[in-house]
Amino acid sequence: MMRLIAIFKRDLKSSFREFLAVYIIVAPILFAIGLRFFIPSVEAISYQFAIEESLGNEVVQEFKKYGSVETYNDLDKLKSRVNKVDDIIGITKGSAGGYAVVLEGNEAGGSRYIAHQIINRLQGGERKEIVTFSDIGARISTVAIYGTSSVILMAIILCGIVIGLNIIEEKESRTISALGVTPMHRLEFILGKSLVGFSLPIIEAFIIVWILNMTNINLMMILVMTVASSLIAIIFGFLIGVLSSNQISGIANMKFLMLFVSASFIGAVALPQTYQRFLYWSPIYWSTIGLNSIVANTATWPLIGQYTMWILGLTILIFFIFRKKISTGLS
Amino acid sequence: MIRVKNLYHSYTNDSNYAVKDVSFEISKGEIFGFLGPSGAGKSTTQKILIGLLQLQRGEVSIDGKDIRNANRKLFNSIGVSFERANVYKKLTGIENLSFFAQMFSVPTEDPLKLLKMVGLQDAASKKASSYSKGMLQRLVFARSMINNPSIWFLDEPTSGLDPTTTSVIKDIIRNRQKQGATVFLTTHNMHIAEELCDRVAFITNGEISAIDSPRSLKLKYGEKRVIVEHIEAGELTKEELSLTEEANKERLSSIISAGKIETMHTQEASLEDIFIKLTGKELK
Repeated sequence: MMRLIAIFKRDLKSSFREFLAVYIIVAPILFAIGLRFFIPSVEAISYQFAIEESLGNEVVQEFKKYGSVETYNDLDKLKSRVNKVDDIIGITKGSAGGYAVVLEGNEAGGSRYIAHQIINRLQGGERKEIVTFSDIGARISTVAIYGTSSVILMAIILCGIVIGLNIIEEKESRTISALGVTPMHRLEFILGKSLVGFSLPIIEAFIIVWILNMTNINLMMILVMTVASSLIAIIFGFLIGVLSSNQISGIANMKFLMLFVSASFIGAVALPQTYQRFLYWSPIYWSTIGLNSIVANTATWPLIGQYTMWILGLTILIFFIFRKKISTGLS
Repeated sequence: MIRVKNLYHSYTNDSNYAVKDVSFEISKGEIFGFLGPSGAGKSTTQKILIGLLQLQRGEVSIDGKDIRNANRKLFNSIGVSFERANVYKKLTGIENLSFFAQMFSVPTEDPLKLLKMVGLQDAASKKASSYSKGMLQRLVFARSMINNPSIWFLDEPTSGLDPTTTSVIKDIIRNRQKQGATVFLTTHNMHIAEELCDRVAFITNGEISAIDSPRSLKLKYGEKRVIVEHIEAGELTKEELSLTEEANKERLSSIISAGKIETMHTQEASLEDIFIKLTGKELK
């Protein structure tokens, strides 16, 4: 165990002293920060209402069905709130009884009609409906879903590539030979190298979730899917390492790998359901749909278990196909 | 301590052998020199002994253990100094040694103490990428001592070093020998071999042509000669004469009788001369 930790610490130290490796590690975090500006917040994709308290709890509860509600006991405060930069619809008592809708004037087109519609329902009216309410189950924007899952997947794959770069370093400096004349077993070498591929994606996945303000998703599921997906990234890392004689060829192989990863991700997101079976062979496909479902809050543990089994099964298969290549390459 | 019997190795898995029927034994506490030109089979033999190449044919035992069945724990007692400086360039000297120390399951030496021994204490905290060739060579040499090995494989340990540092390295090797270490020294530097080795083996084209102590080899194959500078017909003349050939002996007597000798030195055959005589090849 001490050797595994020593190999892991050395790799980490070495990676953080290499510009390319640092960039690869930090890139997903930078992407997440960039993406944060494009993901609409929860408030922006649902309606917000500022309601005068005197309208009563029944009114407040009715409006809560359609969005978030803030209550105010003072009309001026309510107006001041409506006047702020975000879209929020004020509801107060009308001068002739009933209700009055307070708007800033620059709200999105449908806002006032939605308020009218809800008030109409409250009053039990049967006026012609301008807006009908339906719920397709979406609680989060597609940008947020695919953005989050793609950045997490990127972190997982790139951390696998860090393993590849470390193996290339060992090959270029021939330190593998120096390790070969110590009591270290080859399995310890492989496991020690793999630790970077497990630990960094987990840390990065949680940082990404935090940056993207997605902390309400099931973090345990994220952990399971990240660990499972890391397995295939680790094999990719070892393959890049043993197939590349230097960093340049390592980067070339990395590009080829990214093509495969991107194709699997885009296919999982864009292909119609009936064609998705053509992607079942790719563990990245299962990682993608797993992460998407977790971020969209539609995942269940049986579903995550099923995706994880697919990833594990396919990863083991890929490992057995390339086992000899990896073993020879590390000699 | 090390026993090699009928060792063969082919990189192409056919009868084109890089090492052919190599046999030798090294006793505990002995410094054994393995001498030969580049491509002679020195490194191949060493790589088989340290497990970096698979043993194809023949028998090799280290410390009484057949290397085919040896446990990796055997490496706790083995140290290897490689000819090529294979260190982690992004780590400092001390980080390199500390990392390798953690690979062994026996008490290890203090990395700083080893760096001081080879004169790298001032560069201990500098990245190995900033080291010169000689410094890297010393770092690799220091690393080979981290587990305090009782069996020590040294591949050209003084390559690229200045005479002062070479002298330090030779002293370290001698001291380790006094402490009981067995040394397998691979080199094409005959002077180092002559100074350090108890016995040497000459290898060319994968085959051993002679094994003995440097002194015995010189006595057995060397020719006693003398170089004389004398005045003849008013001019300084230099002659190299054999002390075993009759004609040369008579010539030397006549020079001595003439009484006009300026300088006279006996000339021993060097190990390199004997190597060339036995193998017909130069050590390059």
